[in-house]
This record gives sequence, structure tokens and C-alpha cells, in this order.
Amino acid sequence: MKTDPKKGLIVGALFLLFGFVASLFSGEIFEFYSSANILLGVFCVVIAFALLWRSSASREAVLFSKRARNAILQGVLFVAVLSCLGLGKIALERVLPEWDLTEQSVFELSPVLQETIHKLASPVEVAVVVSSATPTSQLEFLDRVEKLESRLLSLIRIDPVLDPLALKEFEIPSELRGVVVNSASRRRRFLRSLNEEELLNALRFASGASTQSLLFLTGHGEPSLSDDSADGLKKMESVLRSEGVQIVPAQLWETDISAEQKGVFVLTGEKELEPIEIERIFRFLNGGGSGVFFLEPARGVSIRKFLSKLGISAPQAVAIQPVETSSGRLTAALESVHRIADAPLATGFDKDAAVSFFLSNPLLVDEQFDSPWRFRPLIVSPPQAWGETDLNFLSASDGSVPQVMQGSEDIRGPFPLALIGENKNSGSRIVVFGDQSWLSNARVERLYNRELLRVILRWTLGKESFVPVMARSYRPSTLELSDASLQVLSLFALGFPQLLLLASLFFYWRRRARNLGFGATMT
Amino acid sequence: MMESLGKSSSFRRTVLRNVALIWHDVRRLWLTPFGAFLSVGILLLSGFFFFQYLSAYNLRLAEFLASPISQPAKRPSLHSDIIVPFVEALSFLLLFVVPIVHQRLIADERKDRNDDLVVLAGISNRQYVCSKFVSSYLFLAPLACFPLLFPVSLFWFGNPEFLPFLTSIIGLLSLLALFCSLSSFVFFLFPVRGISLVMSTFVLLFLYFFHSLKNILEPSSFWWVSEFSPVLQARPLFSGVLSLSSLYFFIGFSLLFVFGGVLSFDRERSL
Amino acid sequence: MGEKNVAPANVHTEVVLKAKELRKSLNEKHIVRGLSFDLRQGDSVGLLGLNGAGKTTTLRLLSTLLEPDSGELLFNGIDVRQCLQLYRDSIGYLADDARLYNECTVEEHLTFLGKLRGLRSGALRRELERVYELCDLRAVHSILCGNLSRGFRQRVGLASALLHRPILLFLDEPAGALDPQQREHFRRLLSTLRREAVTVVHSSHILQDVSVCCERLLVIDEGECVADLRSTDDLQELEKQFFAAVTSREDRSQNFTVRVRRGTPPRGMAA
Repeated sequence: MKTDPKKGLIVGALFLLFGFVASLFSGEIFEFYSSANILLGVFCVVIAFALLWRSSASREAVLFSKRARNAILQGVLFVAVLSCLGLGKIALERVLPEWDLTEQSVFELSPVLQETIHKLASPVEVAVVVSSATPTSQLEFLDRVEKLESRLLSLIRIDPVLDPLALKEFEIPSELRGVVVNSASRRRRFLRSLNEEELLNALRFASGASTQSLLFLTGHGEPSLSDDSADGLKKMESVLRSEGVQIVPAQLWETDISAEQKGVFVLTGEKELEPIEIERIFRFLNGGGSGVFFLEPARGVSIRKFLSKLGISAPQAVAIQPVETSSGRLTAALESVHRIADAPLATGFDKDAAVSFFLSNPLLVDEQFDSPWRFRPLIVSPPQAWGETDLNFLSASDGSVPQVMQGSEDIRGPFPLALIGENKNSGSRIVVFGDQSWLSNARVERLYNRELLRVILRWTLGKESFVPVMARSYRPSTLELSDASLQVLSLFALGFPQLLLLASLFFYWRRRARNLGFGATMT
Repeated sequence: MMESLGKSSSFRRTVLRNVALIWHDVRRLWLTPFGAFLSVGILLLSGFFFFQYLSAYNLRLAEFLASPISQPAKRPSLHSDIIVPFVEALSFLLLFVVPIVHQRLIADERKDRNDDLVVLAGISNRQYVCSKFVSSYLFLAPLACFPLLFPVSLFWFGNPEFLPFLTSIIGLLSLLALFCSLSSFVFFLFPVRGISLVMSTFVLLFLYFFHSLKNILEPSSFWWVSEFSPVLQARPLFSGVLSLSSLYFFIGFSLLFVFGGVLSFDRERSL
Repeated sequence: MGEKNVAPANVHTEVVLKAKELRKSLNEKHIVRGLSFDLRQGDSVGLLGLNGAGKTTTLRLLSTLLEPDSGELLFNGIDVRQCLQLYRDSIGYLADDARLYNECTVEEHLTFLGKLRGLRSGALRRELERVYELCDLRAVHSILCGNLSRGFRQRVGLASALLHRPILLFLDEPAGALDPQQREHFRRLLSTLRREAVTVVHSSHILQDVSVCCERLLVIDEGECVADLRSTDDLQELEKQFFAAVTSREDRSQNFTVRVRRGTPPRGMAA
């Protein structure tokens, strides 16, 4: 009988394959089966090669070995490429990005909130008011919070209709949406709405340190914190309070700034600052205190003298910014809108986040000034803006704004409209704004003004860990499928394939019939 | 003589030749009712699956609406409750269709030795294998997309998420590319018609359920199974996550199997 | 009968194709063993042999559909491996069972092959008209290939081989399925090609078929060229020479049993 080494190799390879597959399974019987197969496989392969060796002089063997060698080489090449691809896949797994495009991703809680919940030091109760009117997005949000399964956080949903007593128990006012209570310290913070930022801040407040005190400089005709008119600062005050800041109004010509104060909040009033006040503020800043300063070009007096001691010059000018009207025409505007996503303190904001200023004063830093303060621009005007030094138009009856930069004294853009600075010796932090009208009740809620206020407050008071979490919009998927629509859809599901089939058959038969008549004579 | 016959320049000629071959193959499949039968089969089966998932969605919606506010049920989503399972079912259907198309496109042509005509007409082995892959893909891609009319109709009656739907289509087409390349590789590896059909279906089925090996075997030692399971790699794309790593997997392995097909065909026809 | 003696118009004496010691084994059986011959431009050569002598394999080797295990094939003095594309553009091959796409019409089939050959639309139309005329296909150009009789299929196959104006034409039993009238037409066609200086290699196991068309007969037996005869009108004489060549080989090879022991097949089983 003619022996065929090729068949021996095939049988051997099959034994080895089954042996390898069986070795993947655990169990005694598989071990035995696998060993037996591998032994048999090796035996067959050895015998096949022995036969091949013996008959290597014959032409068949030479031819076969040539083909086999080629096949093995190709196989090795294929496996090598496969391995490279596989290793590449594993290596690139963590490097290549992926984008979650689902609406569900909206409800992936921000890392900072997850971290805050996981790192809670004491038990916290979160009581929230939910009803049938509660938007789905908020319900989903609460679900996600609950799914974090923190042992120290208990989420209580209160239906005001079914359980009015619970509302009383947690003392939640009717206009608010819930409360976060630290079970140990009984420190509490109400929730005005159900979103990540609100819950995050409330949790941090309830589980965090005591409130910080901020001196609010008065006595120069500054806008009032309790004034709820358009020019008042009542809304700003509530923002400060919601950040856990205790505001202490004080006049500095009588007493010095106390050691309890973490910072000073200085607005431009109707009177100049007294030298003694300036000196006290400087002493406070050099001693490690922080401050926020606002310049108002529309007012006759200012804090320019004070700023010049810091190396900041604020020329008498108003920033004017050309803007495109809806008709596509360029016109100058006193109100300027600035994107702030790239600003040093606002990197957590949406990329489209912007703030709105009105009548801003350009702020110029004297780089040659010998001072321990180092300033960086926080908000910069666009390049096409200019600082108008001729301010007569502000008091003119027609109120028309200059349309182009005319005077040689005017300041060419871009220039800073807000600065942040740090004292390299004491570590004090200050923020200087060329406009204070954006804090007024009429403007503080425009665009991201309120968020900017929160951020700078946190920064000056040394609470950078605060991360603003922007509200994300959610659009729940809905389906309004009536019985009639469902029937139409079903008809389509059946009718479309039928139509396709009929069309295809018609086309095929037509094509065939055209040919058959003739073809019959051919065959 | 070439010029006198009005033949084109070398590169353009090669491209035109390959385009002619691909166009001829795709057209050939539609000239008989073969293409229509396949698409009708897929449409009917996928339509059946679609209405099953639609009913399940309605049930879940009813559960959600009836659940108490303090203990709300999960709100069903049109994408994750209808479109994702539908696309998964469709990919499973395609698994059986791909070998049938290759049977027609590759095995029948080789049985009739019509591949001789193509090879003698100047199509190289590499171009032949690549053209077969491309033409099967171009035939199957519309076949896979026809049933997507069902989920598209949801946009008329509701508001499913659009971007995740797009990634689902990308996932389906990527998985189909892998199926096509692997199946064509098997068909070039086994020249015998019946065997190649059975082997191709078997290999695709094995690959489809490859991830279940992890359940049978020791999970910690076989972590790599999920790295190489087409279904697990397609799942993020199906569910709306545009993952470059998954796309790398599908493109890379599709090219690998086309390369394997070239090697097999070359071995048989090398000159 | 007299047509075979018509001299081609531009007969050159250069060797167009040279086969040197071609060998081919299929399934470990030696089909072609050490075949050598020269073909000159305008030659009309008949490959004559019994069933299983290796004629078809020889033609498949010449047309590059098979790779020889050893030996060389030189086209104008260059190994065909070095100029494969040019060589394939220069040859036409008609298999014994014409390979056609049954679901296409004759015109679609030829158009496809023309496009594969890189013919552009105007030139393609001209060549189609030419081959319709040459092969008498005008009446059936819109018929599905699957509906054609064997004779017509053979003619469409021949048209496919002639479409790109080859200078070498390999015909494997081309007249096997033709009726007497078609055979006569076929003979006229071959003489036309010879006038155009096309080198034709024509295989058959029927002496009469090749003797009337070819001026030179290569007798193939067991894959070897056992005689190179000059065709004459005297069929009986040719037949005598043919059998003498085959029988002497039988004697030379020291009988049948030796071959069986070496594992080679009995005649009539291979190829």
C-alpha cells in the first residue's frame, strides 16, 4: 500500500487541534482527552515526517514538501499579522478615544459629584420633593445618584401630595425642591432645583467646613446689598450666601480689618477711598487676605489710586466693541460679550460659556512696576474693540456711541477687562474687574455672570475644589404610535417585501421571456 | 496594438477593470431573483423582530408609567429598547446570508471556471480577491440597510436619538465588513463548494458566539476573548458609543482576512 | 480542406512562444512531462492526442491558468512570469466547455469581458461588431447565455477569446459541439485569423478536425510530445503516422505495469 505522509500530517493536525481545544476546558476528563489527543497528534506528525524523510528522494515528496513549506510560510505570515493586529488592538484600547453619543450619557454623573458622594465623611440625608410634574431628566438624575450606592448618603423622595408630613419633618419651604442634611452636625442646605451643581454644592456645604466671612466695604455710596431694584445687589448677595459666605458690611476709616475676615469686597462708590482705607486694605492683602475689586467708569470717582499702587493702570476709557447686527451690519456697542471657557478660572465651563459686561474700563498692567503682585488677564476684549477716551458721549443727550476709533489717545484692543493676581510673598489673591454693573440685579443672571461670580469668589477664598457643573439638557425619547399608525407600519413591513419580490420576478420573467422566444430556436 | 484599440493608461485601466468586475458581480446578483429573495427574506424576518421589540417597548413604557413616583421604574428608550436589539438581530440574520452570497459570487464562479475568464482578462489574484470582497459588501450593505427603514419609521412617529442611530448603522456595516472578509477568506481557503459554505457558516457562527467562551472557560484567564469578540466590539457602536478602538478592530481584521484570501488564492494560482 | 495551405499574410519566422521542458502534476499524477516546442507567428498548430493525453493541461499551462512545476515558457524570448500582464493581453483562450455568465446576455457578457480588457466604449462597440461578424453572433446578441445551445456557447466563447485581438489563440476542442455547417464556418474563421498572422493552437482528439485546419500537428501522449507532423491532405497517412508515434511510445515506456507501479495513471483517466 502506498503511504501518504500528507494524510498523516492532516490527521495529526486534527488530533492536535482537538487536544488544544480540550485543554481550554477544566476538569479531569478534559485533561485526559486533551493529553491523549496531543500524544496521538504528535505521534502522527512524527510518523508522517519520518515517511517524508524516507521518501524524500521521490518527486512527489519534493513537490509536496515545497508546497507544504509555502503553505506553512503563508500560515506563519498570516498568524504574525493576526498577532500584530491583536496586540495593536490591546495596546490601543486605552489610547483611542470613544464618544458616547447617547442621551443616556447626559445622566452619567460628573466625576466630581461621584467623588464627593464616595468620599462623604459623615452620613447625609438628601430629601427631595418629587411629583408627577417632575421632569424626567431630574428623575433620571436622582436614579443615577441612588445607583452610586453610597452607604453614607440616603436619598428620600417625598411626594408632597401623598406625604405632606415628610415636608414638615424636613422643613422644606414650598418654593424649594429639597434639602441636604448632615446627620451628624445637623448642618443643612436647601436645594433650589434638582441638578448636579446644586446637589454638589449642597453636599459640600453640608459636609464641609464652617462659613467664611467676607468684608463688604461701605461708606462711599456703594450699591446696597438689600436693594432689589435693577441697580441693586440683592441677587448677588444671595449668590454669596449660597456659597456659604457670610457678608460683613464695614467702613474702614474707623476700624481695621479683623483677623476673621477672609477677604474684602470693594465696589466703586460715589466717594474716593480714604488713604487710611487704602493703607489698611494693603496691609490686609500683604498679610495673606484676599480681595475682589470693581471699577466703574460711569461713576465720577474710582479706585484708580488704589489700583495704581498694585501696578495696574486704569485710564479713563470705556471699552467699545463692534458687533454684527442681525442685518449683517457692524455697529459699536457698550455691552460686550466674552467667551470665558479658556479663562484661567473657568476651564470647567461649557465651551460656549460667555459673560456680559456693560461699560467696562480697560485695565493695563505695568510690567516694569516693582511689586510682589503678579497679574494675569481673566477676560480680554476682542482685537477689534477699542478703549474710547472721549467720554463726553456718555453725558450727551442723544447717547450715540462712537462707531469707529478716532482719537489718538484711544486704546487699541485687545486689552484686559479683568485681572487676577497673586502675591508671591503672602499668597494673597485678588481679582480686579473693569466693570461692576454686571453684578447688579439686572445683569447678574445674564449668560454666565452668576457662575463667574461664584468661581472668582471661590478662587479668592481659596476654594478651588469647587467645580461648576453645567446643567445638561435632556430630551427623552418618545413614541406616539396610534393603532392606525401601527397598522400602516405593519402593512409596510409586509407590503414592501412583497412589492420588491413582485418587481424582481416581473423584471426577471420579462428578461427571460424576451430571450426564450429566440433561445428556443437556438437550443 | 493597445493604443489602436483605445485602451486607457495603466492605472486608470486597472481601476476601470476592477470597477467593471465589481459592478458586474453586483449586477449579476440582482439580474436573477436571487437578490430579491434574499432581501425579502431579511425584510420579513427583520420586520418580525422589529414588531416584537416594539411590543416589548410598549410593555416597558406601560410599566414605567404605572410605577410609583417614589419608586420609579426605568424609563424605556427607543434606542436601547428597540433599535439596539433590532440591529443585533439583523446582524445575526446577515451571518447566514453572507455565506450564501459568497457561494453564489465565489464558489459558483469557480465551479463554472468563470474565474479563468477574469484572470485571463488581466485581473491579478490580489485584485480578484479584493473585488470579490468589495462586490459582496456592496451587495450586502444595501440588503442590511433596507430593514433599517423600520427604525427610520420611528423618527416619523417619535423622536429616537439620531446620533446613536447613526453609530448603530456604522456598527452594523462594520460587522458586515468583517463577516464578508472572513467568509470570502474561508471560500478561497476551501475551493470545494459545499464544504466552503458549511465551513463559512460554521466559522461565522463560532465568531458570533465567541464571547460565550468566556462564560464556559475560566473568565480571568480568558479576558482577551472580549477583545476579539466581534459582537462585544460591535456592542458599543450599536448602543451609541462611537469607539475608535472598535472601528480599528473591524477595519484591521477585515483587511487581515482579505489578505488571507489573497494568500489562499495566490497559493492556488501562483505563477 | 485546401484552406490549411493558405499562407498567412505576414508570416514571420520569429519564435513567438517557446515551451521548454514543461512539467505539471495534478493530485500527484504527472499530466505533462517535459513538453517542449516552439510556436512561430502565424503558425497553426494542432495538438493531437488520445483522451487524457494532457492536451487540456498543456493549453492551460500555455494560457497561464496553471503554473508549471518546472520548465519555462518564453514569450518573445522573455519568461512569461516577467511579462505576465502583457502576455495575458496577447493571448486568447477558449476552454472545451465555453465559460459564460449564464444570467447575462451575449452582449452583456462580451461587454463585461471587453471592459475587463480595458476597452473603452467606442473601441468596445467596434470590437463587438467585429466579433459578432466573425463568429456570426449578431442574431443572438441579446439572448441569455444560459439559453444558448452548446454550439452557440462555443461561438460566444470564441468571440470572448477574440475580442481583444490576441496574437496567440489557444482553442481547446473548439469544434467538438459544432454541427457540420458550423464546422465549416469555424474553418473559414481560422483561415481568416491565419491571414491576420494570429498563431493558433488547436487541440483535439479527432484527427480530421485538426488536420484540415492546421499545418502542423503535435502528437501528445502521456504528457509528452511524441511526434511533430506536417499536416497533409492524406488522412490515412496521417492516421498511420499518429498511431505509429503513439504505439512506439507504448513500447518505449516498457509497458503499462511499470507506470502503475510508479503511481502514474493509466491513459484516459487524467486531464
